[in-house]
Amino acid sequence: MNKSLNKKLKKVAICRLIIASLFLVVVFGTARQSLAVPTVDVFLFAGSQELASDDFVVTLGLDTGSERVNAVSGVLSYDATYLDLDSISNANSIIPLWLEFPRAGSSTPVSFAGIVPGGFGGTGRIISLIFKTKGEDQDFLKHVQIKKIEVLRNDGLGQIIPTAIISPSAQIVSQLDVLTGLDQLPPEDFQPLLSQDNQFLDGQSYLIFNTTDKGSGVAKYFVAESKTKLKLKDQTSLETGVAWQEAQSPYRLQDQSLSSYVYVKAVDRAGNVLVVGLDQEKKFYQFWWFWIIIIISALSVCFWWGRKFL
Amino acid sequence: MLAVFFLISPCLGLADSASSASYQIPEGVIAPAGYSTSSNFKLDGLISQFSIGQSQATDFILRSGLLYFPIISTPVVSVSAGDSQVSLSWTTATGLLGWNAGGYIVGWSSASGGPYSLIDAGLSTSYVKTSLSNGTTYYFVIKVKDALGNYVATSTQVSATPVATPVSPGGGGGSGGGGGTTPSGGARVVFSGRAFPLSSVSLFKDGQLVATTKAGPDANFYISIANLVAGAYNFGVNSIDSAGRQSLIQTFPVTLTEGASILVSGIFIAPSIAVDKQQVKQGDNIAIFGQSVPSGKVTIAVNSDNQIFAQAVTDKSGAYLYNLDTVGLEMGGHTAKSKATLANEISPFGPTAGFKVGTENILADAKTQVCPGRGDLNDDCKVNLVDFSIAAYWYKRPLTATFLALEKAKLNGDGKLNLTDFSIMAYYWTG
Repeated sequence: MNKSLNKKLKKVAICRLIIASLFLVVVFGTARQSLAVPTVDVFLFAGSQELASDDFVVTLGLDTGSERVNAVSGVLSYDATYLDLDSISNANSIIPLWLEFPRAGSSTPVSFAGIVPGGFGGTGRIISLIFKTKGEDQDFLKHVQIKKIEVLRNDGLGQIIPTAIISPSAQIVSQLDVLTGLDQLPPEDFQPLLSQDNQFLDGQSYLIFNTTDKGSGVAKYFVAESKTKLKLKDQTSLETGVAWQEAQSPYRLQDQSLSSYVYVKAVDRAGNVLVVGLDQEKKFYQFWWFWIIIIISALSVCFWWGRKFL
Repeated sequence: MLAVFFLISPCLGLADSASSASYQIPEGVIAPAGYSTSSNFKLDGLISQFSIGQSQATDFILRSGLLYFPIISTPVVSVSAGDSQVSLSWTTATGLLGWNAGGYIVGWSSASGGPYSLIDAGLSTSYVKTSLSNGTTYYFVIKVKDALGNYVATSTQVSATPVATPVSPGGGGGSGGGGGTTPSGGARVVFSGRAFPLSSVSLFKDGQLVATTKAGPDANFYISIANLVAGAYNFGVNSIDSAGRQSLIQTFPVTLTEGASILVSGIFIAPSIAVDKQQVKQGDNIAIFGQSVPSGKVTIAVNSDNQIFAQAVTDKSGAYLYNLDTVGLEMGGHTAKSKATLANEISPFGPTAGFKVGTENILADAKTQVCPGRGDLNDDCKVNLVDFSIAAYWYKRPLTATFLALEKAKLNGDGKLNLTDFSIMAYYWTG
């Protein structure tokens, strides 16, 4: 009698447990759905750029949904058994200002970080890795992974938005997979800035510069400080006749007297260049004609005094 | 009769219930703005004893108790004409108080002002209307639906005229040789919308200032940039009001093809904002003011434990003022931000102005009212490439005591320099 009662009680208890579990699943499932946290979708896709036959381009993209973001950092890894990292491109990236931009040949995995002034909302590219493939594998995309990604909201507080790694739709891929072909255009025009701050770089004058390149991405910057003004046929001339020094912004000027002409050269991954000069206002005493006037004036005064008193 | 009396009695207010502390609308309905089409809706309530002949009010508004301003920003539409087609893209409509866009409807017509044929674009923020006649001007609007399918916002109308793609003459061999280092057939983008009357409007391309213009007395502006190479851009627009206060940059991602001409219209720059005191004595008033479009409505959101919403109207110069009574505000820090409405257009929220509720009044200094709240590391009243470069120099380097003090004062103040600090800088960017 007691045994059968115990069995019945056990059955009732199990039934109650199952019902309670189902109830919890339904309640929490619904609650989770109704309290859905906004996320930013991130994804990798293989590009269709017409490069060499053994090239394989992987681009990291994001879809912000209803969010607006302004800072992104992350780490991408790849399997070196199948892929050799040839170069990295920021062409058509939503990020114009980079805090950390990896270079090919640097250690694996590759880390990056940058910001979007004013924020960004929509679907966009972040960074592209250009690999040389090894072997006959047709699905090289599976050998590249997003190891870490952090996206910050454009809210003045820098709050982190949850991200979801997804497989992008064909529509998104076709939207972002911009066929640039052979890049024959120089980087975008820009204007270097001269600055000085007592609390920075020992109070010395420094140069600031940044630009973008839509075709292949900016590869390097060079700075030249010259006592003579360059006579460039145009801003994209390769022959400038001055010694260029590879540089990063901020660049501490070597000539702290600021008497040199300063030029910045941006070079994209395809080798196109753009040279721009610092918009400098020379002090009046730095012009030769000022000293000619001074000398003539002094001689005139001497001559007048001489005639008057001799 | 008795039953009917008892049924309706809870809804009746008698003369002696004017001082009741439990006045209620038994089955109040909160409807989003724009839903009601009633021309004779009224709510009769008694707030004092009757006194015949004493009221001289001509425009009396009473707002108290439960205030709810459900609003959603108006999409800004970019339009680009192609061969027998027009490409449209628009910014996401963002809602307030949990109101989100449930979808977008593209309205198109060959007549300005419609009637529009409607196409459901789902949640996508772009659409290509094909099968159009070249040479005919078409007009488009984007309507925003809420989750229930009701229209809750409509963009300003944009227009575009599809043109046939010119066919290249065959056998010519093209230009060939020559390097091709200048953008031939450069693209053009035009931005138009509302800022502040006679204000300076700046256009940014990928974060860098590329053009400025001046808005008209009606706050409308028009600014363009040409000779752009094909590619993806993130353009931004901001404005400086008559007192020198800068608005936040509103950005618009645009992908350009060679020779394309794109119009981004319906931009509505968020109002500027400032407060007259950095600290207000609890119970005193604090003035919240700024500038927006002339004769617009400004909604001010005060962020405290219980968020407060207030409304003000702008004058002919676009200026608005709201005196906030701090009786109900708790001690400590608060922020205020504002957004503007004109006709059926709504701006996004603008920058925040911070203040404290304390035990004494401390006036805000002029610099605080004008300069960016954070991110200005070199104290030049701007957040730009110089500030970014200074911060970027210290990224992943040991910070000096001098820079730590700067990080505490101008960034998030956690004693570290990381992506959060740069995000703050990007938000307050002035260029």
